[in-house]
Amino acid sequence: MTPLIEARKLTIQDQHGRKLVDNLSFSLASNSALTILGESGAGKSILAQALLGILPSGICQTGEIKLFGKPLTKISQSQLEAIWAREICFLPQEPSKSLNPIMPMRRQISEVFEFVHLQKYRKATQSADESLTQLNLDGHGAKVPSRLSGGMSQRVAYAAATAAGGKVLIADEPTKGLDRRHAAATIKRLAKYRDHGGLITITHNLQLAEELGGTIIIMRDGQIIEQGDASAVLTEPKNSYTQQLISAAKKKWNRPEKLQQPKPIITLENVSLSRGSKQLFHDFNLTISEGEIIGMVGESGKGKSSLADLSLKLLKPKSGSINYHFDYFPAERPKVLKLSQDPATTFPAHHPLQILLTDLQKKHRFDQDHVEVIMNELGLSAKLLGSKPHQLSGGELQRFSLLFILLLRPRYIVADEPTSRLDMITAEVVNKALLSYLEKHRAALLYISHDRRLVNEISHRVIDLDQTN
Amino acid sequence: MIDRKQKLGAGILLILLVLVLANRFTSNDIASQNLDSIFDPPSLTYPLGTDQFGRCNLARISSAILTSLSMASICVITASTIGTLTGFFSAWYGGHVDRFFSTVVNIIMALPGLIIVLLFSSIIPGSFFMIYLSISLVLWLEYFRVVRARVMSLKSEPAVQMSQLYGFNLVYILRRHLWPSIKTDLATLACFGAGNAILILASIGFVYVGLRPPDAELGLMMVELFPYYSDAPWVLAQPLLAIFALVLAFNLLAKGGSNDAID
Repeated sequence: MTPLIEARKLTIQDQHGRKLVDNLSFSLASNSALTILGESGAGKSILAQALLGILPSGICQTGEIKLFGKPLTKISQSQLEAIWAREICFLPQEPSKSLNPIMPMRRQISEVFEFVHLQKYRKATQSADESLTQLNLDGHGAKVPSRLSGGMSQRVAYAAATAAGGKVLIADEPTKGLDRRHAAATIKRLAKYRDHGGLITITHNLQLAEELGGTIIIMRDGQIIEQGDASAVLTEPKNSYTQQLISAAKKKWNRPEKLQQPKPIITLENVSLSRGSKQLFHDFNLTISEGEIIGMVGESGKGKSSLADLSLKLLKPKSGSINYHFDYFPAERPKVLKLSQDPATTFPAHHPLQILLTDLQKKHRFDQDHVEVIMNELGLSAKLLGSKPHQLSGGELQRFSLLFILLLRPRYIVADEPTSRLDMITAEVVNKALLSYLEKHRAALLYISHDRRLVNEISHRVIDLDQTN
Repeated sequence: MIDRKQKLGAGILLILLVLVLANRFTSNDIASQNLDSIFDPPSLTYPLGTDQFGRCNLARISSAILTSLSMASICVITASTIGTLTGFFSAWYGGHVDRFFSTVVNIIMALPGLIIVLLFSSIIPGSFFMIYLSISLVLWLEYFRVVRARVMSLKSEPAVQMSQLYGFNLVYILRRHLWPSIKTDLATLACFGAGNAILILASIGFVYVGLRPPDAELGLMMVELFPYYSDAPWVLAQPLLAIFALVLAFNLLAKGGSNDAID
């Protein structure tokens, strides 16, 4: 039988001749799964684009890609467009970027039924509502993406991507930002493609790779470093990088000791907040003491990020008060900082990092030695400082975010799913640096994550928003 | 990056500037008449010939181009500064500030731009300052709207929140976040704005509301030379060509659509 998708000696280079994907060969047989696992910025996403024939201009590709036994170069643009969605579905990485920000959710899905399946408008709307119901999104059809949480948008993107009925699915980070329940549901949906079609998953989530089974490819710097059956690769990894990856994923964390009689530094009193007509918090109280690590879990859309922003005074509560009790600290230094989920959006886009670091240094005066020490600890090379944010990978950027934060010595840090976009090894480095800083400087941390195991291990107490309301 | 269209636009502007400078080397005055030599063909004394009063065409056309260019540049500088700052503050502070500026903008937008200019310039006829004021008043709206919309979305970006948490002030946010992301748009607006200012100035000159004779101004020259179009079409053609070249140059300079935001 001809493989559904086949790549042979595929090499992809960018404008500057840098190899994003280097000499890659693999194939996807029908009714099977292929999982591509690897470092952030290892060229995984660009590979997905290459397979679909949608590489951005200026990027050049050598080697061969075959779709259903036919070389991609021999498929005309119109034939290719007929293959998209009807034969091969693509679930892109960022639902926030792939969905239309001003179109109601229902319409984004019903368009597919209307224009691909040529259903009448009313019938298409009905079909869209059905798929929303299947995905547990009843009653959200009229909302636009900005009113939904990341996990909800992810499900809508899934519905829109698969509505055309393609048998093969290419999913780029399908479980990113999803809580455990929705991640499990997503895995179930992906498994359907594995059993009745074909599935290529691009991820850094080891657990996802384990559950999907099939073939695993481990990528690093654009090259395949290990390839084989899922269970074999994951239980007996041969390559040292794979071993590192797996041990990082299974690492046990030791939480820093709780301080004796810690002073409270932030208090939230009777705070209420609503989003639209929905009430997120009502008379919510929280005291954060120095040196304390608070974990926060909860389903998408329960207001985890909103609560964090409240504690940073980035959001104003509808009622109630938020008070800071900091003392003895230089007045002009920021005392509260945030390590956010998507490092790519936390830097001004047009300047090299060196300039941003110098700006910060001029404003807050810290030692150059200190910069080097922390950069070393985070495994960042000084060469990277010359690059602009979009030239770096997510993992590198997140470590720079953390560098900036640690240099300012804040008393309180909010980490909003800081590792959800990072590969296991980088995630370990980030968490480790964060925890050792807290221990050394008696700072407090609010750690938001979908990973309940990690949260339970590192935090002194856990706020579970699923249970509070 | 500068593309070919922009180079062409800059080239045309350069040629016009050379024309203006060339006038420095002739000693002819824009107002001195010589009724013995009306509509003289080009000669060494009058490189572009003479008009209906025997005045030197080169002197007049270069003075008119200089007037148009200086009017365009001061109008654009004023309008972009005011528009950018008000747009920024309007979006940044929201509430009453935003309501105030938006109302003002809506009132001005309800009137056609040319009417405003006619209104202002008829208050003090022939005044360069009033024309400058009214054209700037028409032009700043675009900057206000573009910058306001941009800042509205910028305000909620995590990167800006981050800079605020780091303790940076508004000036920093303007310089590092806003300026790099709007400078191409502003340059485009400025080029179109300059072209527009030149056209407005010529339009009101053409209906005798703008600058007064004996000043040389492109619109005024056209209307003065209009009765002689059959006697000396080549003289009438000179201000026409000049205004065409000026507006074309600025429109070519404007960079449309193809701006690559980051690199």
